[in-house]
Amino acid sequence: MNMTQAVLIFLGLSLDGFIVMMKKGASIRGLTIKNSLTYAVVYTAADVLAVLIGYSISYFLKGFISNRIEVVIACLAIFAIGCYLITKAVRDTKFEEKLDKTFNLKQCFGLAAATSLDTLFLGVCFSFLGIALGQAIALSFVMTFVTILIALSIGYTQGARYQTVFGISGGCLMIIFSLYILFAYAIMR
Amino acid sequence: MEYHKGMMKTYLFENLRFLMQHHLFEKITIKQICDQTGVIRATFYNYFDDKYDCLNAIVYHDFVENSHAYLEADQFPEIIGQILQVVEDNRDFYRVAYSVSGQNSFEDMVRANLAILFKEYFVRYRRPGYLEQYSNDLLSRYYAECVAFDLRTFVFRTDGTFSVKDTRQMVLDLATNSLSNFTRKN
Repeated sequence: MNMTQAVLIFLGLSLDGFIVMMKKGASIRGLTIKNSLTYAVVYTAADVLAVLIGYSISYFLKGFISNRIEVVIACLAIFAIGCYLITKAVRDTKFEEKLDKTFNLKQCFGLAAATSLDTLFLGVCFSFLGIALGQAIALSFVMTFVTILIALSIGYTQGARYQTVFGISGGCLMIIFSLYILFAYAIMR
Repeated sequence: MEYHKGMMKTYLFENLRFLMQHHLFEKITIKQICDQTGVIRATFYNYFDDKYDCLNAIVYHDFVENSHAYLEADQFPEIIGQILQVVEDNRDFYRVAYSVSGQNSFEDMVRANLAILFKEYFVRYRRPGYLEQYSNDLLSRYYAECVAFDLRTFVFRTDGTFSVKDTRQMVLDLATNSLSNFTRKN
């Protein structure tokens, strides 16, 4: 799998965190640059940690399964995450913008941890698909940080709009690439 | 400063009142209210928690704040007349607003604000020693419920037979007469 495909798959996944933080952005009274950066750092740290854990898990599993099976498992997992994101986006259409006076770093970490579970699985998949750990961490760091900053800014200025479109797009992106990789690397070879 | 704050709050909820006459309440976003008022989201959140809170402020303004002078002067018929007049002047808004249902229904807001008004009235003018087992809370909720029913009927009347004056008389008649006055005495 090349880096462009990895970037697009990660982009699909990060749209999940994007929606969560866009909603938060729409519920925060005073969003300063400092606050935005802090929330983005917390979210990024959780995501990078999830990637690291994902890679660690994959190293344990690697000895037991062949390369072809690894790719198949990875593609099916990415496909499943994509389906999950689409289902979530279709179900969670109702959102009322309401002031959240209690939102703080602890809550932000809680949200990040919840959405990082998908990233953990993606970490396992990336490892199976042969993406180097350093590349995966760099990708997760940059993508998450930028996505969260943009999400907070859009949520604060525009409100939490088009969340279903974002969710479905993210899911579709993951499904398309999982199928592509499955055919290109596991079935056609 | 306080005056300025009050004005900003009024601008925000008056713009919501305006928007509601052109868009579905469910579709109205805080951004739309802010854009209409020319402020940022933080300003909106300085005054209201959400758009329902903003809608409630309209009812509070129309029913409670506007009635304050009459309340001070113990002019109950004028309070009812004032409320009906506001509803008459903003009938389009009230017709749309009554469609807001669910957990934060408009009807609940009307009841709650009328209860505030009645409670203030009972606190000031309740006759001492008369049926004291019934608290001001209970009485205010009871009468708020009754007047809310009258108001809803008034908002959705289509035949044009009931003017503000007629409806005011009806509210006063129903509020000041007991059940026994309407039934045959033994």
